[in-house]
Amino acid sequence: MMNFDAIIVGAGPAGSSAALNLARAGKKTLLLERGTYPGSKNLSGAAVYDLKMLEEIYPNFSKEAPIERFLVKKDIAFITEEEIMQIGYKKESFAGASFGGVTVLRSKFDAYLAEEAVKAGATLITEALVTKVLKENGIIKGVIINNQDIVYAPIVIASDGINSFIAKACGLQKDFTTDNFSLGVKEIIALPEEVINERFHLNGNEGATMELVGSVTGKAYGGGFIHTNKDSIAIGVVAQVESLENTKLKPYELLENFKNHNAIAPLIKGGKTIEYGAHLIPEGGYNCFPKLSDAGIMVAGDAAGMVMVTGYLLLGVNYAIESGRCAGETAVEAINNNDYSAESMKTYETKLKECGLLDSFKNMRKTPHNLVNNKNLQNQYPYAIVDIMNQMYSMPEKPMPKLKKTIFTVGKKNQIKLKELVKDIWKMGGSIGW
Amino acid sequence: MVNVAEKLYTLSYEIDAKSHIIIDEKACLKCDKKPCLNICPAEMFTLASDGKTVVNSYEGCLECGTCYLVCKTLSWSYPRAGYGVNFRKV
Repeated sequence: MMNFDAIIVGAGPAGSSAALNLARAGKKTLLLERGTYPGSKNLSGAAVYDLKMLEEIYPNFSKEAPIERFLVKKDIAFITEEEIMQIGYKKESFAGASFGGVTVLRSKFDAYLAEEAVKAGATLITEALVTKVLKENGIIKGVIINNQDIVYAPIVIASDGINSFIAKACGLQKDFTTDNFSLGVKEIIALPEEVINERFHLNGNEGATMELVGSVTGKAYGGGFIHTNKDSIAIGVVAQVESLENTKLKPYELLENFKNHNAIAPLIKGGKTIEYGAHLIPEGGYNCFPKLSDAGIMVAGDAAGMVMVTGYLLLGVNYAIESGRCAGETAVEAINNNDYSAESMKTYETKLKECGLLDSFKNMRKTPHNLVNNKNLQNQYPYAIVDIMNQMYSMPEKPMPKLKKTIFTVGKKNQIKLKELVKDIWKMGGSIGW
Repeated sequence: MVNVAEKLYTLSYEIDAKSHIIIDEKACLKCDKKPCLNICPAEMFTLASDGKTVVNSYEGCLECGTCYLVCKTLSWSYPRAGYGVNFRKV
């Protein structure tokens, strides 16, 4: 019979961070991973932000973690079938520190995070799928692995990812609806380091990332991204699931069109696709959080829907690690007090609030509905913005009109309704502006 | 046409003898939209020759869960431990 202080289901960023905190406190910690190694089932862009927080949890993170590149350049772009308009930011004073983000390859990165937990004393078992949560009189007793092995612990942390079967089995998860999820498809394209540096205007281990909205997703909602790794480029399309259903667009066709776009193709030219992948993203934000804890259980990371969509940034890994830390710390306190009641587990929420995570999501709670699921913003405005540029430089009218007239002409051409525009600006502002 | 199979060849799989995706053919008959056909990023669902039912494979599944999200009648679980897709340490 195997007894532990806590069992963590899923060795992704959330689970490994929870395990690390428990192990550091000297608790008997079991970290379970269904894949053959941590990271083997995990996929995201992957840009990871909030280096400050990461350095606090993982001292020497910047030096020891398997980081591909340090982000110094960020582009946001509006793209149509034939045009692109980019807004770029670059931090030139690069001296071993970025503006806060790095790019990683998840299979390496997640393996590193799990290894840190193991080094601190956690027990990692791979190829261990939790098939049941054991309860007695409503109290969590442990889990069953692979339909046969029983392991006991008074606390289970569900960090089993987006499809969290554990949170569902424990009655914490709400019913999923397709408008709250996006599907991401991605390719990793190998290119020599020097070629990437030339194409993206980078030096050494500087990295660039790009997010694009407009024709990338056709009439579906979402966008595209490009991240530079050391000697590869991650290129992907993220599209909201309900809109994919309605448009019948195929995710890999969107990705193929994106790769073949005249503005994008030169960036990946000559590169070889070395990996393809897909992953669901919980984009519902705060309103779609499950019940975060109950007696003997906490939910962290993707399992808890902790991915933030702001339109200019998509954040998940940092919140997974931070929520994992909060869950781990809560578990340590519960073990010390020998109190696994629902009340005791509520400390998790207090900690999520203290570190700012909960309020970050509360602040941005309207973005999923107002930005991601906004038809005009997705399908109309990017075209109009790019068209304004076109009008300004192609000089179609003589005498040269003032900007107001150009904007008016473009608005009319793109069938933008002033009333809706004002409403959308108000909505966008209310979501991310004020 | 995108060659999805070619993309899947870039991945490493440990294939189980048993499928972790089970479709309900009767439900497929009644389903007009059949979102699974277009949405699966691994193209694991195809229309049967009768034009009404769906045939599925599972070997190339990326384990994203999208089919399970768009179809309430199919049963989907993670593959048995040790099986399924492996994203490699490229």
